Amino acid sequence: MNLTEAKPQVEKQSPLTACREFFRAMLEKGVVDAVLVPQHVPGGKVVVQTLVTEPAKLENVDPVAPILMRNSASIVSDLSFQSPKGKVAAVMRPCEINALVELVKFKQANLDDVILIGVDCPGTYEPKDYMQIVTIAAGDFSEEVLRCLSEGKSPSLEGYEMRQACRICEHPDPANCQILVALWGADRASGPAIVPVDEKGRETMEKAGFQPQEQPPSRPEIIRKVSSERSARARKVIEDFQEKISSLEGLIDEFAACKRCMNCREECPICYCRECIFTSPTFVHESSKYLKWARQRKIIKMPVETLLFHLTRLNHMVTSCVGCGQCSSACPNGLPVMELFRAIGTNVQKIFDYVPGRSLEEEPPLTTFREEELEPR
Amino acid sequence: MSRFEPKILGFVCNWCTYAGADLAGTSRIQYPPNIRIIRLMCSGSVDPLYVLKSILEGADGVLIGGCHPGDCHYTNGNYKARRRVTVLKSILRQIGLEDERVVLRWISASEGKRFADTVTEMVEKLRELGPNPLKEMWQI
Repeated sequence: MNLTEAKPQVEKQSPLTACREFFRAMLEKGVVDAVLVPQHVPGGKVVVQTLVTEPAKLENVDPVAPILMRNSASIVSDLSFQSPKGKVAAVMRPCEINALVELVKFKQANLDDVILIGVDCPGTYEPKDYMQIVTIAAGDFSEEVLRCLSEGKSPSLEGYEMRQACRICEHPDPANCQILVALWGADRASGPAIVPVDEKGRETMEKAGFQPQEQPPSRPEIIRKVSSERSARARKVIEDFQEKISSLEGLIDEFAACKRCMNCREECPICYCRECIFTSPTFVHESSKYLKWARQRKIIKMPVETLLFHLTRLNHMVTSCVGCGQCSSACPNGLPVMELFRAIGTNVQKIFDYVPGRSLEEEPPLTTFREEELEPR
Repeated sequence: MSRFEPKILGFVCNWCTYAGADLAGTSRIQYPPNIRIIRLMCSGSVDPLYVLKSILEGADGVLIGGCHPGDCHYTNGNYKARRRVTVLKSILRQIGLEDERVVLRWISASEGKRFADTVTEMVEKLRELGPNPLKEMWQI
């Protein structure tokens, strides 16, 4: 079936109707001025984040579709680092909220005018895979995903694998949101449950005229199961990768195909610097430098400083890496950037007992210090 | 065969360690001539990038010198340096590079002897470790 004709998620009976109606009510009742929410593009190929101010423009809403083309933490940062001059409800996945929490702590985003609506996440496919899947999947793919979620399973499709970052993600459920769209264990007929998480969320739902719902009874158990499966997988992937890069030769070999395009940095939600040192004049070398370096070493790889780039980026932001894996998805040569950051990050974050995205109160390790610590070195 | 002479790069703060190094000189304290010093205003202004660049370009060791805790001219730059160096050393260890190549040491303006001892100690340690393996790797 062709998705352009199909799109049952926009029809009245779709399980996603409740979501759409809730977002619509928030706009109609003036609870928020805009909703940031994933929607199908008209051709149905992909789902993109949309910023919507008109209730009628929510017809293709789909926060379930397993695709994430950009971590929206950076989108919410753009929207809120200055006053957005209006209230915004942002519909986001767990890894997006985690990254946003980090950005808030780095003062790159402000949640005063933002209501976070977290959505249970089954994981996502690479956009190129997703585009194929929706053209071959019989019926609507998001329906299929919802069915899997309600049964507590991750969607599986022969010939396609979810992004590695998602397969080893320990956060199938969002934290730090005001309202939760509960999909794990949700009743097939009634669709996702919309659950207020805190007072702000409860108030928002009330104003929108929506009855607060309870999370599905089976959800906590499902999440425990999914989390522990993924954690086990994560440990394995991380340990294997730590082994691979435990020698310089191993690390250099893994990143041999890096050409320092810096797409990973571009897509990283944590790399927020408007002016990155790697694009600054510091890295515009005098022409004669190259020959000097070549003479010193007899041979150098061009472009230079590929390993320096990754090691510096690790030093600068691995403490706050949430493992969303957009770096790996962005790499034209498929390098294991996410694996590198998770492998190194686990140990570095442990030093400071820091979990990125866990709390808005905990200070990012490199922005603070204790007078008595880390001695003797 | 001639003895391996390690090359050390020193990022030292203007207020304490640089003055300490100066004192070592004016007091005529002998120490190995293997260090090249770069003066910065504060150990807190040492971006890990500087250390990494030095090491990737073949420095055998890097010394970061700052004021003793509580003595930072800018109140807390040295505390921040301590966290950054901790992260850096953890990363170096994990990729199979000896983290002893990077040393963060508090050396005050009155500690000429401590500066000289630090350099001596580093040279001995680096002789033990041998040359920085990255010197022989071009594919970085």
